[in-house]
Amino acid sequence: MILINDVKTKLSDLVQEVSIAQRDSFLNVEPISDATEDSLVFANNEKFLKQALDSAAQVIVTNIKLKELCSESNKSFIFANIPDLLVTKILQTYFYSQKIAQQKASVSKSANIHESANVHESCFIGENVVIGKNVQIAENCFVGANTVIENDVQIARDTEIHSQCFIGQRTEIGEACIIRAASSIGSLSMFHFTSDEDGLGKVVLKNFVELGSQSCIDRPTRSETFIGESCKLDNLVKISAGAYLDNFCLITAGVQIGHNARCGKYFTVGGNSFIEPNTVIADQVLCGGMTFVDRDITEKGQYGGMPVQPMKDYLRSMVSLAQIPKLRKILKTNA
Amino acid sequence: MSNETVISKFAKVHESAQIGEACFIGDFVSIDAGVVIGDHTRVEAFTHIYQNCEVGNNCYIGPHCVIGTDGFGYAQDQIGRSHFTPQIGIVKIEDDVKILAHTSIDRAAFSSTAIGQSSIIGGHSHIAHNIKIGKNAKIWPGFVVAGSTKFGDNIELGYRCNCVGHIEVCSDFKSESMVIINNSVKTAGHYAGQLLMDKSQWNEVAAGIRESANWTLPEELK
Repeated sequence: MILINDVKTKLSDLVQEVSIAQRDSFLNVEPISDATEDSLVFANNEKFLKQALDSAAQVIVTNIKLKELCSESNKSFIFANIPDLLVTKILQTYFYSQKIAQQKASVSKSANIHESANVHESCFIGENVVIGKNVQIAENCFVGANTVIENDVQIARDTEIHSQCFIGQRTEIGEACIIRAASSIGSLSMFHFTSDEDGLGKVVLKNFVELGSQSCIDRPTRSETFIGESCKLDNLVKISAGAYLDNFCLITAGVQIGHNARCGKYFTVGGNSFIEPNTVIADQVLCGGMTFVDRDITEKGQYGGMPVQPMKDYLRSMVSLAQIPKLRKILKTNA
Repeated sequence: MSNETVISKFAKVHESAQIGEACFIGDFVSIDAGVVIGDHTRVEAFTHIYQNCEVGNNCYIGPHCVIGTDGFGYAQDQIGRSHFTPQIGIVKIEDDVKILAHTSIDRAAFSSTAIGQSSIIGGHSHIAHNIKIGKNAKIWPGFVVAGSTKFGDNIELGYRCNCVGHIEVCSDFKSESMVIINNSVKTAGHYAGQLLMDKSQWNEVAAGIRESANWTLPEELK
Protein backbone atom coordinates (compact mmCIF):
# COMPACT_ATOMS: atom_id res chain seq x y z
CA MET A 1 0.00 0.00 0.00
CA ILE A 2 1.40 3.38 -1.00
CA LEU A 3 0.43 6.58 0.74
CA ILE A 4 1.38 9.58 -1.32
CA ASN A 5 1.00 13.03 0.13
CA ASP A 6 2.59 15.06 -2.61
CA VAL A 7 0.77 13.80 -5.68
CA LYS A 8 2.44 16.23 -8.05
CA THR A 9 5.95 15.03 -7.51
CA LYS A 10 5.63 11.35 -6.73
CA LEU A 11 2.68 10.14 -8.72
CA SER A 12 4.19 10.50 -12.16
CA ASP A 13 6.64 7.58 -11.75
CA LEU A 14 3.92 5.27 -10.56
CA VAL A 15 1.59 6.26 -13.35
CA GLN A 16 4.23 5.56 -15.96
CA GLU A 17 4.62 2.05 -14.59
CA VAL A 18 0.97 1.31 -15.18
CA SER A 19 1.11 2.91 -18.63
CA ILE A 20 -1.84 5.21 -18.14
CA ALA A 21 -0.19 7.98 -20.08
CA GLN A 22 -1.30 6.48 -23.38
CA ARG A 23 -3.91 8.69 -24.95
CA ASP A 24 -5.70 5.74 -26.58
CA SER A 25 -6.37 4.14 -23.25
CA PHE A 26 -8.36 7.21 -22.25
CA LEU A 27 -10.46 7.39 -25.37
CA ASN A 28 -12.33 4.24 -24.41
CA VAL A 29 -13.06 4.48 -20.74
CA GLU A 30 -14.47 1.20 -19.55
CA PRO A 31 -16.50 0.25 -16.49
CA ILE A 32 -14.44 -0.69 -13.46
CA SER A 33 -15.41 -4.34 -13.84
CA ASP A 34 -13.57 -4.44 -17.20
CA ALA A 35 -10.29 -3.12 -15.77
CA THR A 36 -7.14 -5.06 -16.61
CA GLU A 37 -3.91 -5.38 -14.65
CA ASP A 38 -2.57 -2.30 -16.42
CA SER A 39 -5.50 -0.11 -15.49
CA LEU A 40 -5.43 2.64 -12.95
CA VAL A 41 -8.86 2.72 -11.34
CA PHE A 42 -10.45 5.80 -9.78
CA ALA A 43 -12.96 4.91 -7.11
CA ASN A 44 -14.27 7.93 -5.27
CA ASN A 45 -17.02 6.19 -3.29
CA GLU A 46 -17.63 2.92 -1.47
CA LYS A 47 -19.62 1.33 -4.29
CA PHE A 48 -16.90 1.92 -6.88
CA LEU A 49 -14.18 0.88 -4.45
CA LYS A 50 -15.83 -2.51 -3.92
CA GLN A 51 -16.01 -3.00 -7.69
CA ALA A 52 -12.36 -1.97 -7.98
CA LEU A 53 -11.28 -4.44 -5.31
CA ASP A 54 -13.02 -7.24 -7.23
CA SER A 55 -11.45 -6.19 -10.54
CA ALA A 56 -8.09 -7.17 -12.02
CA ALA A 57 -6.67 -3.66 -11.55
CA GLN A 58 -3.57 -3.49 -9.41
CA VAL A 59 -3.54 0.25 -8.64
CA ILE A 60 -6.55 2.03 -7.18
CA VAL A 61 -6.96 5.73 -6.46
CA THR A 62 -9.51 6.35 -3.75
CA ASN A 63 -10.64 8.58 -0.94
CA ILE A 64 -8.60 8.49 2.24
CA LYS A 65 -11.82 8.07 4.21
CA LEU A 66 -12.20 4.62 2.66
CA LYS A 67 -8.76 3.47 3.79
CA GLU A 68 -10.14 0.84 6.18
CA LEU A 69 -11.89 -1.00 3.37
CA CYS A 70 -8.55 -1.48 1.65
CA SER A 71 -6.62 -2.91 4.57
CA GLU A 72 -7.01 -6.58 3.58
CA SER A 73 -6.25 -6.16 -0.10
CA ASN A 74 -2.90 -6.90 -1.78
CA LYS A 75 -3.41 -4.20 -4.39
CA SER A 76 -1.60 -0.86 -4.37
CA PHE A 77 -3.53 2.21 -3.30
CA ILE A 78 -3.14 5.93 -3.72
CA PHE A 79 -5.15 7.79 -1.11
CA ALA A 80 -6.26 11.36 -1.60
CA ASN A 81 -8.51 13.70 0.29
CA ILE A 82 -10.14 14.68 -2.99
CA PRO A 83 -9.75 11.92 -5.62
CA ASP A 84 -11.27 14.13 -8.34
CA LEU A 85 -8.52 16.66 -7.80
CA LEU A 86 -5.92 13.92 -8.01
CA VAL A 87 -7.31 12.78 -11.37
CA THR A 88 -7.22 16.37 -12.55
CA LYS A 89 -3.58 16.68 -11.58
CA ILE A 90 -2.69 13.47 -13.40
CA LEU A 91 -4.44 14.63 -16.55
CA GLN A 92 -2.84 18.05 -16.31
CA THR A 93 0.58 16.43 -16.01
CA TYR A 94 0.20 14.19 -19.04
CA PHE A 95 -2.11 15.98 -21.42
CA TYR A 96 -2.63 19.65 -20.89
CA SER A 97 1.02 20.56 -20.58
CA GLN A 98 1.73 18.57 -23.74
CA LYS A 99 -0.94 20.48 -25.63
CA ILE A 100 0.71 23.81 -24.91
CA ALA A 101 4.18 22.44 -25.56
CA GLN A 102 3.16 21.23 -29.03
CA GLN A 103 3.08 24.79 -30.32
CA LYS A 104 6.58 25.96 -31.13
CA ALA A 105 7.33 29.63 -30.74
CA SER A 106 6.71 31.31 -34.07
CA VAL A 107 5.06 34.27 -35.72
CA SER A 108 2.97 33.59 -38.81
CA LYS A 109 3.92 35.49 -41.95
CA SER A 110 0.33 36.58 -42.41
CA ALA A 111 0.16 38.12 -38.90
CA ASN A 112 0.05 41.91 -38.81
CA ILE A 113 1.94 43.22 -35.77
CA HIS A 114 2.38 46.96 -35.14
CA GLU A 115 5.98 48.05 -34.82
CA SER A 116 5.44 49.48 -31.33
CA ALA A 117 4.02 46.20 -30.00
CA ASN A 118 6.26 44.12 -27.77
CA VAL A 119 5.71 40.42 -28.36
CA HIS A 120 8.09 38.09 -26.52
CA GLU A 121 10.07 35.77 -28.76
CA SER A 122 8.74 32.65 -27.00
CA CYS A 123 5.15 33.36 -28.11
CA PHE A 124 3.15 31.64 -30.83
CA ILE A 125 1.25 34.03 -33.10
CA GLY A 126 -1.10 32.37 -35.60
CA GLU A 127 -2.28 33.23 -39.11
CA ASN A 128 -3.99 36.54 -39.84
CA VAL A 129 -3.57 37.77 -36.26
CA VAL A 130 -3.68 41.55 -35.91
CA ILE A 131 -1.81 43.14 -33.00
CA GLY A 132 -2.18 46.90 -32.43
CA LYS A 133 -0.06 49.73 -31.00
CA ASN A 134 1.78 49.35 -27.69
CA VAL A 135 0.51 45.85 -27.06
CA GLN A 136 2.60 43.92 -24.53
CA ILE A 137 2.61 40.12 -24.74
CA ALA A 138 4.81 38.29 -22.20
CA GLU A 139 6.54 34.89 -22.37
CA ASN A 140 4.99 31.65 -23.61
CA CYS A 141 1.70 33.10 -24.78
CA PHE A 142 -0.36 31.53 -27.55
CA VAL A 143 -2.50 33.59 -29.92
CA GLY A 144 -4.64 31.56 -32.32
CA ALA A 145 -5.47 32.37 -35.93
CA ASN A 146 -7.63 35.35 -36.93
CA THR A 147 -7.54 36.94 -33.49
CA VAL A 148 -7.52 40.72 -33.23
CA ILE A 149 -5.74 42.45 -30.33
CA GLU A 150 -6.33 46.20 -30.18
CA ASN A 151 -4.07 48.97 -28.92
CA ASP A 152 -2.56 49.10 -25.41
CA VAL A 153 -3.52 45.57 -24.43
CA GLN A 154 -1.34 43.84 -21.82
CA ILE A 155 -1.13 40.06 -21.69
CA ALA A 156 0.88 38.35 -18.96
CA ARG A 157 2.85 35.12 -19.36
CA ASP A 158 1.51 31.64 -20.22
CA THR A 159 -1.83 32.93 -21.46
CA GLU A 160 -3.65 31.21 -24.32
CA ILE A 161 -5.94 33.12 -26.64
CA HIS A 162 -7.55 30.78 -29.13
CA SER A 163 -8.65 31.61 -32.66
CA GLN A 164 -11.26 34.16 -33.80
CA CYS A 165 -11.06 36.17 -30.55
CA PHE A 166 -11.30 39.93 -30.14
CA ILE A 167 -9.37 41.71 -27.38
CA GLY A 168 -10.41 45.36 -27.12
CA GLN A 169 -8.37 48.43 -26.19
CA ARG A 170 -6.57 48.64 -22.83
CA THR A 171 -7.60 45.13 -21.73
CA GLU A 172 -5.33 43.61 -19.08
CA ILE A 173 -5.07 39.83 -19.00
CA GLY A 174 -3.24 38.09 -16.15
CA GLU A 175 -1.00 35.04 -16.07
CA ALA A 176 -2.03 31.61 -17.32
CA CYS A 177 -5.46 32.68 -18.53
CA ILE A 178 -7.29 30.77 -21.26
CA ILE A 179 -9.56 32.61 -23.68
CA ARG A 180 -11.31 30.07 -25.90
CA ALA A 181 -12.34 30.50 -29.52
CA ALA A 182 -14.58 33.29 -30.78
CA SER A 183 -14.69 35.18 -27.48
CA SER A 184 -14.77 38.93 -27.25
CA ILE A 185 -13.16 40.86 -24.40
CA GLY A 186 -13.31 44.62 -24.18
CA SER A 187 -15.88 45.28 -26.87
CA LEU A 188 -17.89 48.46 -26.47
CA SER A 189 -20.80 48.48 -24.06
CA MET A 190 -24.25 49.88 -24.81
CA PHE A 191 -23.43 52.99 -22.77
CA HIS A 192 -20.89 54.07 -25.33
CA PHE A 193 -23.75 54.94 -27.61
CA THR A 194 -25.73 56.89 -25.01
CA SER A 195 -22.89 58.88 -23.45
CA ASP A 196 -20.78 61.71 -24.84
CA GLU A 197 -17.74 60.73 -22.79
CA ASP A 198 -14.75 59.29 -24.52
CA GLY A 199 -14.27 55.76 -23.26
CA LEU A 200 -11.37 55.28 -20.88
CA GLY A 201 -12.62 52.10 -19.30
CA LYS A 202 -11.02 48.71 -19.57
CA VAL A 203 -11.48 45.04 -18.81
CA VAL A 204 -9.21 43.40 -16.24
CA LEU A 205 -8.79 39.64 -16.04
CA LYS A 206 -6.68 38.48 -13.10
CA ASN A 207 -4.49 35.37 -13.10
CA PHE A 208 -5.84 31.90 -14.00
CA VAL A 209 -9.12 33.14 -15.44
CA GLU A 210 -10.67 30.83 -18.05
CA LEU A 211 -13.26 31.97 -20.53
CA GLY A 212 -15.33 29.60 -22.68
CA SER A 213 -15.93 30.00 -26.37
CA GLN A 214 -18.20 32.70 -27.78
CA SER A 215 -18.32 34.56 -24.48
CA CYS A 216 -18.33 38.32 -24.26
CA ILE A 217 -17.00 40.73 -21.62
CA ASP A 218 -17.89 44.38 -22.25
CA ARG A 219 -15.69 47.40 -21.65
CA PRO A 220 -17.28 50.23 -19.63
CA THR A 221 -17.08 53.91 -20.52
CA ARG A 222 -15.17 54.63 -17.31
CA SER A 223 -13.75 52.38 -14.56
CA GLU A 224 -13.32 48.69 -15.32
CA THR A 225 -15.01 45.35 -15.76
CA PHE A 226 -13.21 43.10 -13.31
CA ILE A 227 -12.89 39.31 -13.38
CA GLY A 228 -11.14 38.04 -10.26
CA GLU A 229 -8.45 35.43 -9.86
CA SER A 230 -9.25 31.87 -10.86
CA CYS A 231 -12.76 32.67 -12.10
CA LYS A 232 -14.02 30.13 -14.64
CA LEU A 233 -16.56 31.18 -17.25
CA ASP A 234 -18.26 28.74 -19.60
CA ASN A 235 -19.38 29.19 -23.20
CA LEU A 236 -21.82 31.89 -24.36
CA VAL A 237 -21.47 33.91 -21.16
CA LYS A 238 -22.12 37.65 -21.29
CA ILE A 239 -20.57 39.99 -18.69
CA SER A 240 -21.78 43.54 -19.13
CA ALA A 241 -19.77 46.70 -18.60
CA GLY A 242 -18.64 47.53 -15.08
CA ALA A 243 -19.50 44.12 -13.59
CA TYR A 244 -17.25 42.88 -10.80
CA LEU A 245 -16.62 39.18 -10.21
CA ASP A 246 -14.62 38.43 -7.11
CA ASN A 247 -12.18 35.51 -6.99
CA PHE A 248 -13.08 31.87 -7.65
CA CYS A 249 -16.48 32.42 -9.33
CA LEU A 250 -17.94 29.69 -11.55
CA ILE A 251 -20.25 31.00 -14.27
CA THR A 252 -21.84 28.33 -16.46
CA ALA A 253 -23.08 28.50 -20.04
CA GLY A 254 -25.54 31.11 -21.24
CA VAL A 255 -25.40 33.26 -18.10
CA GLN A 256 -25.80 37.01 -18.54
CA ILE A 257 -24.57 39.42 -15.86
CA GLY A 258 -25.92 42.96 -16.07
CA HIS A 259 -23.85 46.13 -15.85
CA ASN A 260 -22.24 47.10 -12.55
CA ALA A 261 -23.41 43.91 -10.82
CA ARG A 262 -21.05 42.74 -8.06
CA CYS A 263 -20.64 39.03 -7.40
CA GLY A 264 -18.86 37.87 -4.25
CA LYS A 265 -16.20 35.20 -3.86
CA TYR A 266 -17.09 31.63 -4.86
CA PHE A 267 -20.30 32.74 -6.61
CA THR A 268 -21.58 29.79 -8.64
CA VAL A 269 -24.49 30.09 -11.04
CA GLY A 270 -26.34 27.59 -13.25
CA GLY A 271 -26.98 27.83 -17.00
CA ASN A 272 -29.04 30.53 -18.73
CA SER A 273 -29.39 32.60 -15.53
CA PHE A 274 -29.60 36.37 -15.54
CA ILE A 275 -28.21 38.79 -12.96
CA GLU A 276 -29.98 42.15 -12.99
CA PRO A 277 -27.73 45.24 -13.35
CA ASN A 278 -26.43 46.88 -10.14
CA THR A 279 -27.25 43.92 -7.91
CA VAL A 280 -24.83 42.88 -5.18
CA ILE A 281 -24.34 39.21 -4.38
CA ALA A 282 -22.65 38.04 -1.18
CA ASP A 283 -19.78 35.55 -0.97
CA GLN A 284 -20.43 31.82 -1.36
CA VAL A 285 -23.79 32.09 -3.08
CA LEU A 286 -24.96 29.28 -5.36
CA CYS A 287 -27.81 29.88 -7.83
CA GLY A 288 -29.53 27.12 -9.81
CA GLY A 289 -30.14 27.11 -13.55
CA MET A 290 -32.36 29.77 -15.16
CA THR A 291 -32.36 31.89 -12.00
CA PHE A 292 -33.37 35.52 -12.36
CA VAL A 293 -31.50 37.52 -9.73
CA ASP A 294 -33.51 40.74 -9.55
CA ARG A 295 -32.40 41.91 -6.10
CA ASP A 296 -29.37 41.82 -3.82
CA ILE A 297 -28.45 38.53 -2.15
CA THR A 298 -26.97 39.37 1.22
CA GLU A 299 -26.44 35.96 2.79
CA LYS A 300 -24.54 32.93 1.56
CA GLY A 301 -26.57 29.87 0.57
CA GLN A 302 -28.42 28.24 -2.29
CA TYR A 303 -30.94 30.16 -4.36
CA GLY A 304 -33.09 29.63 -7.43
CA GLY A 305 -36.23 30.69 -9.27
CA MET A 306 -37.63 33.53 -11.26
CA PRO A 307 -37.51 35.90 -9.32
CA VAL A 308 -34.76 34.62 -7.07
CA GLN A 309 -35.60 33.14 -3.68
CA PRO A 310 -33.92 30.69 -1.30
CA MET A 311 -33.74 27.25 -2.91
CA LYS A 312 -36.08 25.61 -0.38
CA ASP A 313 -38.76 28.26 -0.96
CA TYR A 314 -38.28 27.99 -4.72
CA LEU A 315 -38.84 24.25 -4.71
CA ARG A 316 -41.90 24.69 -2.48
CA SER A 317 -43.35 27.37 -4.76
CA MET A 318 -42.78 25.14 -7.78
CA VAL A 319 -44.86 22.44 -6.13
CA SER A 320 -47.56 25.02 -5.31
CA LEU A 321 -47.64 26.02 -8.97
CA ALA A 322 -48.98 22.59 -9.81
CA GLN A 323 -51.96 23.28 -7.50
CA ILE A 324 -53.13 26.29 -9.51
CA PRO A 325 -55.59 24.34 -11.73
CA LYS A 326 -57.19 22.90 -8.57
CA LEU A 327 -57.49 26.37 -7.02
CA ARG A 328 -58.94 27.67 -10.26
CA LYS A 329 -61.64 25.02 -10.21
CA ILE A 330 -62.56 25.79 -6.58
CA LEU A 331 -62.82 29.50 -7.31
CA LYS A 332 -64.94 28.89 -10.38
CA THR A 333 -67.25 26.61 -8.41
CA ASN A 334 -67.59 29.21 -5.63
CA ALA A 335 -68.34 31.90 -8.17
CA MET B 1 -21.86 17.89 -58.66
CA SER B 2 -18.15 18.57 -58.57
CA ASN B 3 -16.01 16.35 -56.40
CA GLU B 4 -13.58 19.16 -55.78
CA THR B 5 -13.32 20.49 -52.26
CA VAL B 6 -13.15 24.26 -51.97
CA ILE B 7 -11.04 25.67 -49.15
CA SER B 8 -10.86 29.43 -48.74
CA LYS B 9 -7.37 30.88 -48.93
CA PHE B 10 -8.03 32.56 -45.57
CA ALA B 11 -8.92 29.29 -43.86
CA LYS B 12 -6.35 27.57 -41.66
CA VAL B 13 -6.47 23.80 -42.08
CA HIS B 14 -3.90 21.69 -40.25
CA GLU B 15 -1.90 19.40 -42.49
CA SER B 16 -3.03 16.30 -40.59
CA ALA B 17 -6.74 17.11 -40.95
CA GLN B 18 -8.70 14.98 -43.43
CA ILE B 19 -11.27 16.77 -45.56
CA GLY B 20 -13.59 14.65 -47.73
CA GLU B 21 -14.76 15.19 -51.31
CA ALA B 22 -16.90 18.11 -52.46
CA CYS B 23 -16.60 19.97 -49.16
CA PHE B 24 -16.65 23.73 -48.66
CA ILE B 25 -14.45 25.33 -46.02
CA GLY B 26 -15.26 29.03 -45.64
CA ASP B 27 -13.18 32.12 -44.91
CA PHE B 28 -11.25 32.33 -41.63
CA VAL B 29 -12.21 28.80 -40.60
CA SER B 30 -9.72 27.08 -38.30
CA ILE B 31 -9.45 23.31 -38.48
CA ASP B 32 -7.02 21.76 -36.03
CA ALA B 33 -4.85 18.65 -36.17
CA GLY B 34 -6.48 15.27 -36.61
CA VAL B 35 -9.92 16.57 -37.56
CA VAL B 36 -11.86 14.32 -39.93
CA ILE B 37 -14.57 15.84 -42.15
CA GLY B 38 -16.70 13.63 -44.39
CA ASP B 39 -17.86 14.24 -47.97
CA HIS B 40 -20.20 17.04 -49.10
CA THR B 41 -19.89 18.88 -45.79
CA ARG B 42 -20.01 22.66 -45.59
CA VAL B 43 -18.17 24.60 -42.87
CA GLU B 44 -19.08 28.28 -42.89
CA ALA B 45 -16.86 31.26 -42.11
CA PHE B 46 -15.21 31.90 -38.71
CA THR B 47 -15.92 28.41 -37.41
CA HIS B 48 -13.27 26.65 -35.33
CA ILE B 49 -13.07 22.86 -35.17
CA TYR B 50 -10.66 21.73 -32.46
CA GLN B 51 -8.27 18.78 -32.66
CA ASN B 52 -9.38 15.19 -33.40
CA CYS B 53 -13.09 15.99 -33.80
CA GLU B 54 -15.08 14.07 -36.40
CA VAL B 55 -17.75 15.48 -38.71
CA GLY B 56 -19.75 13.12 -40.95
CA ASN B 57 -20.97 13.38 -44.54
CA ASN B 58 -23.47 15.98 -45.80
CA CYS B 59 -23.20 18.09 -42.66
CA TYR B 60 -23.61 21.85 -42.37
CA ILE B 61 -21.66 23.76 -39.72
CA GLY B 62 -22.85 27.38 -39.60
CA PRO B 63 -20.72 30.50 -39.20
CA HIS B 64 -19.01 31.26 -35.86
CA CYS B 65 -19.54 27.75 -34.47
CA VAL B 66 -16.99 26.25 -32.11
CA ILE B 67 -16.77 22.47 -32.20
CA GLY B 68 -14.65 20.60 -29.67
CA THR B 69 -13.73 23.32 -27.22
CA ASP B 70 -12.81 22.16 -23.72
CA GLY B 71 -15.68 21.09 -21.49
CA PHE B 72 -16.41 22.98 -18.28
CA GLY B 73 -14.76 20.42 -16.01
CA TYR B 74 -13.13 21.49 -12.77
CA ALA B 75 -12.13 19.81 -9.53
CA GLN B 76 -12.26 21.89 -6.37
CA ASP B 77 -9.52 21.80 -3.79
CA GLN B 78 -9.88 22.23 -0.02
CA ILE B 79 -10.28 25.99 -0.18
CA GLY B 80 -12.66 25.96 -3.13
CA ARG B 81 -10.29 26.90 -5.92
CA SER B 82 -11.16 25.31 -9.27
CA HIS B 83 -8.57 23.24 -11.12
CA PHE B 84 -9.23 22.56 -14.77
CA THR B 85 -9.59 18.89 -15.66
CA PRO B 86 -8.12 18.45 -19.15
CA GLN B 87 -10.76 17.31 -21.58
CA ILE B 88 -9.17 14.68 -23.78
CA GLY B 89 -12.16 13.23 -25.61
CA ILE B 90 -13.59 14.35 -28.93
CA VAL B 91 -16.80 15.54 -30.60
CA LYS B 92 -18.38 13.09 -33.05
CA ILE B 93 -20.96 14.49 -35.44
CA GLU B 94 -22.74 11.88 -37.55
CA ASP B 95 -23.98 12.25 -41.13
CA ASP B 96 -26.55 14.84 -42.30
CA VAL B 97 -26.31 16.97 -39.16
CA LYS B 98 -27.00 20.72 -39.32
CA ILE B 99 -25.44 22.96 -36.68
CA LEU B 100 -26.44 26.59 -36.97
CA ALA B 101 -24.53 29.78 -36.24
CA HIS B 102 -22.85 30.61 -32.92
CA THR B 103 -23.31 27.15 -31.46
CA SER B 104 -20.61 25.63 -29.30
CA ILE B 105 -20.15 21.93 -28.66
CA ASP B 106 -17.70 20.89 -25.95
CA ARG B 107 -15.39 17.92 -26.31
CA ALA B 108 -15.91 15.02 -23.91
CA ALA B 109 -13.81 14.53 -20.82
CA PHE B 110 -12.66 11.07 -21.99
CA SER B 111 -14.76 9.53 -24.75
CA SER B 112 -16.96 11.55 -27.14
CA THR B 113 -19.73 14.12 -27.24
CA ALA B 114 -22.04 12.67 -29.90
CA ILE B 115 -24.63 14.28 -32.18
CA GLY B 116 -26.80 11.67 -33.90
CA GLN B 117 -27.59 11.35 -37.60
CA SER B 118 -29.87 13.91 -39.26
CA SER B 119 -30.08 16.13 -36.18
CA ILE B 120 -30.52 19.90 -36.38
CA ILE B 121 -29.20 22.16 -33.64
CA GLY B 122 -30.33 25.79 -33.66
CA GLY B 123 -28.05 28.78 -33.25
CA HIS B 124 -26.66 30.12 -29.96
CA SER B 125 -26.89 26.67 -28.37
CA HIS B 126 -24.46 25.15 -25.94
CA ILE B 127 -23.88 21.40 -25.92
CA ALA B 128 -21.72 20.47 -22.94
CA HIS B 129 -19.18 17.68 -22.58
CA ASN B 130 -20.19 13.99 -22.78
CA ILE B 131 -23.66 14.76 -24.15
CA LYS B 132 -25.20 12.10 -26.38
CA ILE B 133 -27.96 13.24 -28.73
CA GLY B 134 -29.77 10.54 -30.71
CA LYS B 135 -30.91 10.57 -34.33
CA ASN B 136 -33.27 13.11 -35.90
CA ALA B 137 -33.14 15.56 -33.02
CA LYS B 138 -34.63 18.98 -33.71
CA ILE B 139 -33.34 21.55 -31.23
CA TRP B 140 -34.46 25.14 -31.59
CA PRO B 141 -32.02 28.01 -30.83
CA GLY B 142 -30.79 28.97 -27.39
CA PHE B 143 -30.62 25.47 -25.91
CA VAL B 144 -28.24 25.08 -22.97
CA VAL B 145 -27.48 21.69 -21.48
CA ALA B 146 -25.10 20.66 -18.70
CA GLY B 147 -22.76 17.70 -19.07
CA SER B 148 -23.27 13.94 -19.43
CA THR B 149 -26.97 13.95 -20.32
CA LYS B 150 -28.25 11.39 -22.83
CA PHE B 151 -31.09 12.15 -25.25
CA GLY B 152 -32.92 9.49 -27.25
CA ASP B 153 -33.93 9.65 -30.91
CA ASN B 154 -36.46 12.02 -32.51
CA ILE B 155 -36.51 14.59 -29.72
CA GLU B 156 -37.72 18.14 -30.34
CA LEU B 157 -36.90 21.01 -27.99
CA GLY B 158 -38.39 24.50 -28.26
CA TYR B 159 -36.55 27.81 -28.07
CA ARG B 160 -34.20 28.53 -25.15
CA CYS B 161 -34.70 25.29 -23.25
CA ASN B 162 -32.47 24.40 -20.33
CA CYS B 163 -31.42 20.94 -19.23
CA VAL B 164 -29.51 19.79 -16.15
CA GLY B 165 -26.66 17.29 -16.36
CA HIS B 166 -26.37 13.55 -15.75
CA ILE B 167 -29.94 12.60 -16.69
CA GLU B 168 -31.57 10.60 -19.49
CA VAL B 169 -34.31 11.87 -21.77
CA CYS B 170 -36.23 9.23 -23.70
CA SER B 171 -36.86 9.08 -27.44
CA ASP B 172 -39.79 11.00 -28.97
CA PHE B 173 -39.63 13.63 -26.22
CA LYS B 174 -41.05 16.96 -27.32
CA SER B 175 -41.05 20.22 -25.40
CA GLU B 176 -42.28 23.77 -25.74
CA SER B 177 -39.94 26.76 -25.46
CA MET B 178 -38.32 27.89 -22.18
CA VAL B 179 -38.66 24.48 -20.56
CA ILE B 180 -36.35 23.41 -17.75
CA ILE B 181 -35.63 19.68 -17.96
CA ASN B 182 -34.55 18.99 -14.39
CA ASN B 183 -35.17 15.24 -14.11
CA SER B 184 -34.85 12.15 -16.27
CA VAL B 185 -37.83 11.67 -18.61
CA LYS B 186 -38.90 8.09 -19.27
CA THR B 187 -42.24 8.65 -21.00
CA ALA B 188 -42.45 10.10 -24.48
CA GLY B 189 -44.83 13.02 -24.86
CA HIS B 190 -45.26 16.73 -25.29
CA TYR B 191 -44.02 18.70 -22.27
CA ALA B 192 -44.05 22.36 -21.25
CA GLY B 193 -43.40 24.77 -18.37
CA GLN B 194 -40.83 25.14 -15.66
CA LEU B 195 -42.12 22.02 -13.90
CA LEU B 196 -41.82 19.93 -17.04
CA MET B 197 -45.51 19.05 -17.05
CA ASP B 198 -47.57 17.40 -19.73
CA LYS B 199 -48.55 20.11 -22.24
CA SER B 200 -52.28 19.91 -21.46
CA GLN B 201 -51.62 20.17 -17.69
CA TRP B 202 -49.33 23.15 -18.22
CA ASN B 203 -52.02 24.86 -20.29
CA GLU B 204 -54.29 24.73 -17.24
CA VAL B 205 -51.56 26.11 -14.96
CA ALA B 206 -50.80 28.89 -17.45
CA ALA B 207 -54.50 29.75 -17.74
CA GLY B 208 -54.71 29.91 -13.94
CA ILE B 209 -51.70 32.23 -13.74
CA ARG B 210 -53.19 34.54 -16.36
CA GLU B 211 -56.59 34.63 -14.62
CA SER B 212 -55.16 34.96 -11.11
CA ALA B 213 -55.02 38.77 -11.27
CA ASN B 214 -58.79 38.88 -11.45
CA TRP B 215 -59.51 36.19 -8.89
CA THR B 216 -61.77 37.12 -6.00
CA LEU B 217 -60.69 34.95 -3.14
CA PRO B 218 -63.35 33.56 -0.77
CA GLU B 219 -63.34 35.05 2.75
CA GLU B 220 -61.64 32.04 4.36
CA LEU B 221 -58.65 32.39 1.98
CA LYS B 222 -58.19 36.12 2.49
